[in-house]
Amino acid sequence: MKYLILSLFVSSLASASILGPVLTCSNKKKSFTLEINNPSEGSVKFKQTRCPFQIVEMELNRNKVGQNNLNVNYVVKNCGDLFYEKSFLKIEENDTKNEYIAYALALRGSQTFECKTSSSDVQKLLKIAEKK
Amino acid sequence: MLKFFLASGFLALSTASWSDSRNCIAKDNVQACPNSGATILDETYPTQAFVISTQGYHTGSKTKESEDKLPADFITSIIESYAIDTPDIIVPTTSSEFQSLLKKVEENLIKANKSPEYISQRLSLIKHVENESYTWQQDYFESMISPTTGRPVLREVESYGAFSSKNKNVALIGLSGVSKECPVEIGQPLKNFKGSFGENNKTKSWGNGEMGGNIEGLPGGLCLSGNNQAQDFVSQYCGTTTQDNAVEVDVGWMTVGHVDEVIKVVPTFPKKLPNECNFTIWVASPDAGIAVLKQPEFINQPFMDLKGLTREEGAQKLNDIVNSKGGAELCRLLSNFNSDADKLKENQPKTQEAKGAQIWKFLKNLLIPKAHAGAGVIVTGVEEENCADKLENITNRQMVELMEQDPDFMLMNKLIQEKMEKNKAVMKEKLSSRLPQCKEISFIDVPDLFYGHGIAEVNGKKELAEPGNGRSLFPNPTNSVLANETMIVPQAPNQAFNSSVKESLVKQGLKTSFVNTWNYAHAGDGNMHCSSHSLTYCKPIGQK
Repeated sequence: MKYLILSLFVSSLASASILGPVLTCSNKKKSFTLEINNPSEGSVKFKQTRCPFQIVEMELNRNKVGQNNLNVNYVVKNCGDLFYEKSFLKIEENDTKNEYIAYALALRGSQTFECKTSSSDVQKLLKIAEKK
Repeated sequence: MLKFFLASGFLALSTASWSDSRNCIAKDNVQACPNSGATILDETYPTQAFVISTQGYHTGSKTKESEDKLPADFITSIIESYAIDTPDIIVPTTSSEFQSLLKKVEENLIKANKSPEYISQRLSLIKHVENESYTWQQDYFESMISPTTGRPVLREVESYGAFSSKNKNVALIGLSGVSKECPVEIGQPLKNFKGSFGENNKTKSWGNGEMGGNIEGLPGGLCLSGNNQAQDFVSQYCGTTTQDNAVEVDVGWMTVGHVDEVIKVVPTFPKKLPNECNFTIWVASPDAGIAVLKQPEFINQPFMDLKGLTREEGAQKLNDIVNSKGGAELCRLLSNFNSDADKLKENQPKTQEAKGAQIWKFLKNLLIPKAHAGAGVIVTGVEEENCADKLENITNRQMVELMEQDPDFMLMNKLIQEKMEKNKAVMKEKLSSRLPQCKEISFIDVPDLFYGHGIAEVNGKKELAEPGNGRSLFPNPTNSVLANETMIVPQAPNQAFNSSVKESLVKQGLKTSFVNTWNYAHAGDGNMHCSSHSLTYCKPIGQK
């Protein structure tokens, strides 16, 4: 029994520490975070409310000289009226490699938000997209 | 007397530099260059040279279509559109790709029963510029004009990073060096004003705003400007703000976001009106998209046009569509469709007697199990179809029903139609004011349906998201290329759509040449216009 409790504890610790790439998205009035765990799932969080989403499409376009454009279409269900059910994240690689601009449609009552993240998280995101 | 002879000699020389150029194409009735301060021409002006891509988007994809098929078909269409004065056709690519392309064009012309002399002469017009091949020849530079010579001036788009600076440079130098007789200059680059969405729109562009497909002329010396372009960027070729030549249209709701995806200036022949009034403006129309599918002559026709294809070619075409982004959307719409169930619905008995017969048939089937592989249970349903099978079987009527039953699809297209109506109103106001002699500015709604994911709602009102992810389901008709009096149109896989576009062209005195761009360009969110560049020219003001 003790062994079971310990293994459950360790496994919950492990899953809590595995964070996917996180983006912070804001407009002039609000901000939220968007996290992608794997090619199928992620979550959006606004203030204290976090809602998981299912990724329906994760499309990575790489053009001839390696510039990346990533489109993530996702669906949030059973989250009240806080988030749009159908939302997306767009990431565009800037002219200079390793500079990215990201936009997300997520919070109800708002248009798209501009999103920021670390360059290492962008690389994680691109790796996840490649697996999709 | 001597002064007179010298003066007339000088005059003769100056006119000779325009109208007597060797074989450089010049027509007596070429329109005068704009005097508005804008240096970009609309598409009613003639083409001095075409720049063609040989790098299809579909490299390495599952299709069996060869990469040089589309470029060869495109070039063949251009060649066949001119009886005389065929413009240069310039292909920036590697030597081996160029040779392979020439061979394919030759094969096309032989198949078309052209004489050896004709073939030899036309192939000599196809010029090579040694460079890495690249798909989107429309976007990394723009072709403006010199007001003094009327000839093309190529200007690099500085902020365009998807094609390296080195390659851009090599391409422009190559293009300008192709013909001594038909000069093409290199001008100052269009400076970088790229920022991000929401910044000052005077000084900052966003998204894909700063690209050639988003830099287009309108009649009357006006310019089409996407709402994702900085005003300062546009001023580099459209005159000053005071000159007020820019006509801003809303394109930021699309994944790419270029004016050539939804708007096109199309000339009308014969020229009956004042020269500058012989045009219509084509505008993408979701309403027209639904309407053409419902036309009586097409409503019961197959949604996918596979006519003239062998079984294998048809299967390949369906496969190519299903494996694309547009195909994924069609498959999503089709996910609730079962062609046998629909046939059952169509065959619903109308009389009591017929209903009774059907009930008896149902009971009979229930009592006598069907022989399905692995079946240990009674199955009365039908086997599940895959998407390609559904696409093959579905009619226009059935597809429209599926579309109309999908609230998100219909809402998106409704919002797009509203945007296009606003764009038309903006263009009409500016064009009418600039060209009062043109009694009517005609707009043609061309069928075009769109899809995307997610719609915003602000203060209770539904809006398209911007920056957005809208895409055209079928190749955009506005992304065609004019060659003389033939419009080279990216072919939709639907007969109703193609027929409607052709009908519009016939009314404007233009011929149609369809080319299949699905794999080459449409799968990459571009099309015919995006993967080519027409270097247009005009008659300098004051020249006869």
